[in-house]
Amino acid sequence: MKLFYPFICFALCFLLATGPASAQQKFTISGYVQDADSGEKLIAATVFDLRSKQGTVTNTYGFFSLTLPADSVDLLFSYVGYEAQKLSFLLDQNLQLNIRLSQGQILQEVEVVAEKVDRIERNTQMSQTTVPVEQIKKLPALMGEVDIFKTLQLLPGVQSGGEGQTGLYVRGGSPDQNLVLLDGVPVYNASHLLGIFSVFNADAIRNVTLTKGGFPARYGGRLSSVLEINMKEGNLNKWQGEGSIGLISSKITLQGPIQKDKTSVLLSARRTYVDLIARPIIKAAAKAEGIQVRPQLYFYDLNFKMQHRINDKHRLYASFYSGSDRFFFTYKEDGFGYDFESSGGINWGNIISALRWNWQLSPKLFANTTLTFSDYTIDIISEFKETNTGLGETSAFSAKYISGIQDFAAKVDFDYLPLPNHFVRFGASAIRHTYRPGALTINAEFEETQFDTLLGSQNLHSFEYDAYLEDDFHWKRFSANLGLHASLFQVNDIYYPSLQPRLGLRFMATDKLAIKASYSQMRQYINLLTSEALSLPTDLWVPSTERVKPQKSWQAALGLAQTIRDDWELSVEAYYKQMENVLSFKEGASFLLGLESDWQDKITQGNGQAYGVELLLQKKFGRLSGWIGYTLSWNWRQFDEINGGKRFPFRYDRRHDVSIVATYEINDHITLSGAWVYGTGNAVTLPIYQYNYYYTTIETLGEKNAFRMSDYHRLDLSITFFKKKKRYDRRWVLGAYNAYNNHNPYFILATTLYDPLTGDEKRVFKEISILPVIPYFSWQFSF
Amino acid sequence: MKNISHISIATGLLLLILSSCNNFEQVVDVDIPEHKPAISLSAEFGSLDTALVLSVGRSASILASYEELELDVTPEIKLFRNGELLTQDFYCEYSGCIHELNQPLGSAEDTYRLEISAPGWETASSTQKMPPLPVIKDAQFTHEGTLDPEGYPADEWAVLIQDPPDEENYYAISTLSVRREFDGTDTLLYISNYTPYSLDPATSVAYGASSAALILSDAAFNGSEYWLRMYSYPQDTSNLEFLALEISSLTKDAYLFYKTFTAYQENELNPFAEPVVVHQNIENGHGIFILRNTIIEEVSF
Repeated sequence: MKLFYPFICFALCFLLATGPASAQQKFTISGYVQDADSGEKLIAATVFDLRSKQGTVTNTYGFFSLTLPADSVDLLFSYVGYEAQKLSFLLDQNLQLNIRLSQGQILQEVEVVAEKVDRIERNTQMSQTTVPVEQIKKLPALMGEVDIFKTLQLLPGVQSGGEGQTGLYVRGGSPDQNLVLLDGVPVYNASHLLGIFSVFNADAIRNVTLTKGGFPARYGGRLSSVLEINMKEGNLNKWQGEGSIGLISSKITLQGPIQKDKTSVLLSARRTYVDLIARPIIKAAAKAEGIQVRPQLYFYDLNFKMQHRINDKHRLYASFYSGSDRFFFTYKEDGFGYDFESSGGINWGNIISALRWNWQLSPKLFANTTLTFSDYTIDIISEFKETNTGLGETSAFSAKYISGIQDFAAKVDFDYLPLPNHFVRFGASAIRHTYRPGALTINAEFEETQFDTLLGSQNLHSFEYDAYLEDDFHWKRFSANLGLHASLFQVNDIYYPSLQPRLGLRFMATDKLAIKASYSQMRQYINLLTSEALSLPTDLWVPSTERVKPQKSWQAALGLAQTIRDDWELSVEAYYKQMENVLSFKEGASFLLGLESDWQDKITQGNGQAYGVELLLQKKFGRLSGWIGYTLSWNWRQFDEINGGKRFPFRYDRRHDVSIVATYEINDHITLSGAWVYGTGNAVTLPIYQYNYYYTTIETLGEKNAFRMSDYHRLDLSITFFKKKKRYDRRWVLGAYNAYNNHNPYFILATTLYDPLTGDEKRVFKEISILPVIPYFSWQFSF
Repeated sequence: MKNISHISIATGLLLLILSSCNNFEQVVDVDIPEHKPAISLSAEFGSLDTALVLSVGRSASILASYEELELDVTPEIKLFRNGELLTQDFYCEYSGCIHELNQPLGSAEDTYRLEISAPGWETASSTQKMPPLPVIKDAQFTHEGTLDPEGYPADEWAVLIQDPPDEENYYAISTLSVRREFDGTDTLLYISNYTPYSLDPATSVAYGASSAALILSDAAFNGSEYWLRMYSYPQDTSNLEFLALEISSLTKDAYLFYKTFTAYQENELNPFAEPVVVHQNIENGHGIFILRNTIIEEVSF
């Protein structure tokens, strides 16, 4: 309890600071801002009083609250890409307003004033990027699969792992240090097809926000980033649909009202169909050999969301996601006197659901209560059955390996807006984690033997409790976000408490230039045991234990933010991040964990440092949109048991990382998109000399990650043809990944070249590439 | 016009596909630091050995050919025991060298020093102390007395080790069987070494030059008695003459070498596994000098 005393003191200080500032009577205007067409809540829409020059923005649920002195007000509601609305009235009582904004041209006379509030330099938050989903959908994509993660990899401070992988390495962190939230629910395995595609279907997504540093107190549980992904809520006014047919998958999204303006649903589905195309060919080939084969090689995603407006003060939301990969083969052979049938494969997937209740307790106080469930499971199955048709005897064997993680969580978040210059957030949450580190069930039935057994680790439970308090306040040219995050993690009888201070500062140097600074401490209590090079479904989530201490970090950042010519945003940030107790496999440990050994024996803990400078010049809207990003960074690790205890570069230490992303609408029917990326080659460990141990040649490694693979660069291009048809809109998208077919290295090895003509042998290093130029097309529709 | 543009797009896509279907690998220049070649040595001597076998060569840059790993001159090999020359009479052919002893090397905790010199090469050496003879209080065998992890019947082995206190000890265990078989005219004796397996997390299977063994450290049972339970695949006991456990104490260098060499071999073709540096203990050279003190513990069957 000792830990909570400072927290309570902190809370009281805030309450005092946010108390009535003057004796003048004040009233509160509160309500929601939403899309007039679909009823979708608009996040971060601006509400600004032109008379008092006071304003606020809507929260994640479209709610706003603005307390002003009793007087005439000229209230302007605006959102980028939408037509602003101005309301003038005498404020003499508390008022509830639900504003609907229509997409269209922004009124020039109000634009300058309106946009001031949500401009990059006005926001206290730094190290945060929002990429409009519509922009993500216009960019070139690997095999035509629009992928949110691959777009985020194009941002400064965010690096990809191996070629084609969706892993996000944010400011020197590893993918497990990213808190990926889908409608507030953690997603533990965010990838399909061994990490080539992410699980998020862009058609079902409303907005994507990545926070790389300066973490507000409401976030916790991971060291490196928070990725908030919100699903669309469903159109409250009319039925809409969109979909596409591509090279490897098709998808469809339907949304509409069940009861107009009160209840809506959204349903979205995506499935790949490589197996459907390949199955007849494989079946025919197998049939010629007298064998029956049934392959299943696919992944699918299902998104469902429902919202119900009980009244102006209460709203309910239910969201559900289910996605799975299935690599499975069934094999059947009818022989002379026997039948043989075997099947085997691997299935993995997430199930995520959330039930949310928004309650406007008062004009100034908004509550969001959420119950969530998240489950990630992997099954590896092997079965066979053999029947002697003559004797009628049957032998059967089945083995099933199950692993995963499951969360139940409850949390309550409050937004309290006592004054126009204060935005107070506080809340608490509790999570119950259940880990299945790996269990094998075996059933067998032979002539004289029958058994049914269970091997491997038992389920492990842990509990994580969090509470936070933060205030975002403005005073003249200054603004600050001050907060505290408290957490307590319990596993078996071990408790890990922590208090994590958070601070964000902003100073307006000129009307368009802000200087920002931030400091944040983070803790992480769950860890992913994974290879540095590849995202596998067998990667294992495990908790901090008595032996494995929680990961810790602190990060400080300093930056400039400026809006140029009203439609370009420029930000430059320098950061330093120190990490403690980060995990790595010991030298020689295999990332494929066996049942026979304790995972704790295979890992070691150490420290990491990451520092660098990021530059982002971004244009979000207009005929030409896109961004130029550049990162200069250093990323180090140090483990007592690795590299002789000496500090070494992290595998994804990338000195230079450049991305140029552009979308240009040539006219209303044709859009061109391109993305060019360049990165310093990955750090690798290579052998430097060799000797013989009896008849085996041993290659001895140089220092860890002391060498570099060739630099990485790639150009992706696409062109979209749009046409408005009588009943629907259609788009043809043609494109190419790695358009100039650069051989980007995936890994490097020392090998021997043999010349068959001369018989000469030569030892060389070879880089292996996996993704050449890949053209694609897709047909998209919406109505 | 429309047809021409369609044909152009289709041709372009086809060319892209065709041009991408080759050269997934490319030779690259890597600036590898220069390596100074040195004598390499592999020697594993056991207390029961009467033949001392070792291998001598040289190290070379990773880009050198395998032929360059042979030493081009005959090496001079000296083995010292407690500072006194035990022998320098090794017969060498190619990289292999051998010396026949009149009696086993012995289980006394003596210090051995191996020196290899050759014209034009810096003398390589290594000093190791014979580890203490393992103290075995009991050893048992039960034919088909247990099940393996897949549920099949397996022979059960158990050994009670009395571990010396206040020192790190390392063990290697394998099984030894002598089988008598009559082939119609002669009676033949077959001697076999097997590696037992164990679900005990302190153990792991390790590979050497030509054999394998179950190895373990005493970290979990230092200074106390410890029952180690193992299993092996069932063997026909009807014509067995002799069955035993071969239990060796290892030097720390030997234990580290076996652990890292095994991981090196298992991960050699896996580009995604964590890389391994194989443990060495040769001064002014490369390789390993191993001593093991072995006891053979007969079991009834």
